[in-house]
Amino acid sequence: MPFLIIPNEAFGDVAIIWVAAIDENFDAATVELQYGSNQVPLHDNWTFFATDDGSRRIRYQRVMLKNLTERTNYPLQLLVNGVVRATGRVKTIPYNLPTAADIPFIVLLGSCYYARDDKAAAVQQTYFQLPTAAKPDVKILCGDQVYLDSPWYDFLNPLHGYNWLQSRSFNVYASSWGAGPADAIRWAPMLSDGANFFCSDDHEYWNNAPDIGLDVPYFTLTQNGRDQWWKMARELYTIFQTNAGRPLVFQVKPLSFCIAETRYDRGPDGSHLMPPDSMTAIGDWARDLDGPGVLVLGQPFFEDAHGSLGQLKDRGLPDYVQQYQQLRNLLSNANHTIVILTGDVHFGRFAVATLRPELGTKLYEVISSPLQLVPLGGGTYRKPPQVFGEVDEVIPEFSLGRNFFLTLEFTAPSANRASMHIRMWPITKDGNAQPSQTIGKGPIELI
Amino acid sequence: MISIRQSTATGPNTKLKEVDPKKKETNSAWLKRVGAKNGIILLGGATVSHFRIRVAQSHARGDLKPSLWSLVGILIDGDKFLSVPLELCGDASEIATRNGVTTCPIADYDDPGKFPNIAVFSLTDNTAMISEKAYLVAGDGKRPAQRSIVDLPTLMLPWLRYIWVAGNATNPLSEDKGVPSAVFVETVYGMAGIELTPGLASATSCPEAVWQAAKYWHEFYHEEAQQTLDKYAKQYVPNGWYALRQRIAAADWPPETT
Repeated sequence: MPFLIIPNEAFGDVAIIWVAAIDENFDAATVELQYGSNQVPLHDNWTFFATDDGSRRIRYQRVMLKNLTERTNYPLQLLVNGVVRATGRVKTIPYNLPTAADIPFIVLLGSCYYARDDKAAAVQQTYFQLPTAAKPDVKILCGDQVYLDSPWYDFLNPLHGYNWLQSRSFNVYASSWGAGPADAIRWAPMLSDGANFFCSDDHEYWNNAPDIGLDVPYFTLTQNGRDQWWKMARELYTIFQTNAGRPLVFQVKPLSFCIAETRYDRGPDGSHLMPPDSMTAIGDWARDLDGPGVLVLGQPFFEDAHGSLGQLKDRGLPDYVQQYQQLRNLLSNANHTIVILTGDVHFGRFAVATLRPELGTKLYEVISSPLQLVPLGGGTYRKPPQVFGEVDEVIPEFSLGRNFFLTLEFTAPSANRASMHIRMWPITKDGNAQPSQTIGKGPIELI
Repeated sequence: MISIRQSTATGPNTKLKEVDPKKKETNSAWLKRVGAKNGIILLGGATVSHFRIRVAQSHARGDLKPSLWSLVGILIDGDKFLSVPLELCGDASEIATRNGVTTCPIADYDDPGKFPNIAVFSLTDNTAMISEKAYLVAGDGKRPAQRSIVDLPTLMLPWLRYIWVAGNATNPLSEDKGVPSAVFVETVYGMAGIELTPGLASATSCPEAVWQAAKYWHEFYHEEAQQTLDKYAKQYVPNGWYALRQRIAAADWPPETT
């Protein structure tokens, strides 16, 4: 299926739809996208990219659908010369959180998907087996949607050069996005079903990018090697996933979301996580909250700094000392409870700290990882370190070495508050749906 | 002590006025005199069970004294109110069917010796929306009660255990289990877009927190009134009346006869 539809972000009246053709020749004058009963011609605005060795090519564009109705499903069809070549679905989000009597606004949170080992397409099976009442409005995929650097033994041949790396990386994306053989379709149907808010982590590049990756030394030992890979992977991320940039802020009142990249613009040697203006944007968002906030990051905030040896292996947010401290301060200034959504570490954790005792606000962190564990991915549970005053587990370890994703159900108990109910959905092992597990004692009120 | 935010207001809400009861005046007569027909009603009881509920809420007060209040409800006309009292009577299955919500005749709470404290105030004129939300929670004969919105019978159990001192009789508020009547009223008003206890998590709502909101959070409500969304009930600064016959909590009803 070399024609693809994968919705990107969806808002109340706007949705951004990624459409692409991989290794396909077509007449752009015959292409249109149907959404619901409407259609938009896609004759222009195609962006072309080909690998340097000429083996793979893609034409793609992001179509902005406007004047949509809030919280409405729009079936999507990509027609080429009158023939349906790809399908999908996007659902707009509500402007306001539903009340407790209504169907919650549901966010799926997942990270760390190693498609190569999801041979039974178990992740998408689990997704499509969700009960109707539990189906997410949107998905937040917060890093490692692809592993461009795994398995490590693929990278041992010193004769492999840049072209090989670029072509291989393109193939990983194309295959994972559904442009491979039919029997290699993994989670692509899930990506095509509903909006996806992406943010990246290291495996969109390589382990511990942009610093030396110990598992891929031939390609990352030199600055030139790292620069080449970094530039290429950033480009592929922009092509296939999302237009990365400043933090993306949107509201489902009274809840406000901020999706912040901490990898895409990361500097070398622990210098910075993001450009200063992105940090300022997070600060503005936190300061101006008029209800609870949800901050999406590619790595956990409740994390200890690594020693110098640990930093060689994998840097975390606290290893960027100056900006981590800045982030701490910005969050501390918020007038409302903030929930951090993140992944990366190959276990699930739900932790809480007091944000501002005089306001009764909390800082929660929800970790959802992995969707499909990468081989030798570890995943030993770690209790939250005491890096923000007292940090407590809301519940003890719940992932227990399983692949899973979470859904977060949000409602508004009143005009200014949100209620969050977290459920864990273990990935099926035998094709049969697994029962979900409520994380914590039930709904948690966010003020 | 439960976590409760204090209002930053420098003085109490002047729109909540104390109206002393006349000698031997019943609560229904007092309500008629002040002209209250709808809004939120607070009652402070003097039976042992109400006394214990008042004491339990000392956790929500800075001075750690018992609350003036033990029950809160939604006045639906001058004669009755919707609430979740812990006095059980009638068919037990009704509790589940109506999600614990009872239509309480004021006449049952008329005796000023049994219920010495009373307050009534309103936050909105949109009583239709409040009623609609209340019956969504409680069911209305045509539609069943929605315990998925808030499961009040589950909250009643620890409170009954507490007032009966049966089994694990710890103060439910210290375990984030609100007083059922307050959680009901808070949920209904919340669904109508009105924050009933700005200082407290909804799950730990209690009549004391509702009282504090009416008395000290008027600046908050003033601000909220400026920015109400269309889909919610238009709100205003709480206004109403209260009468206190028993400022210091005591379990002095029924009177001792010896």
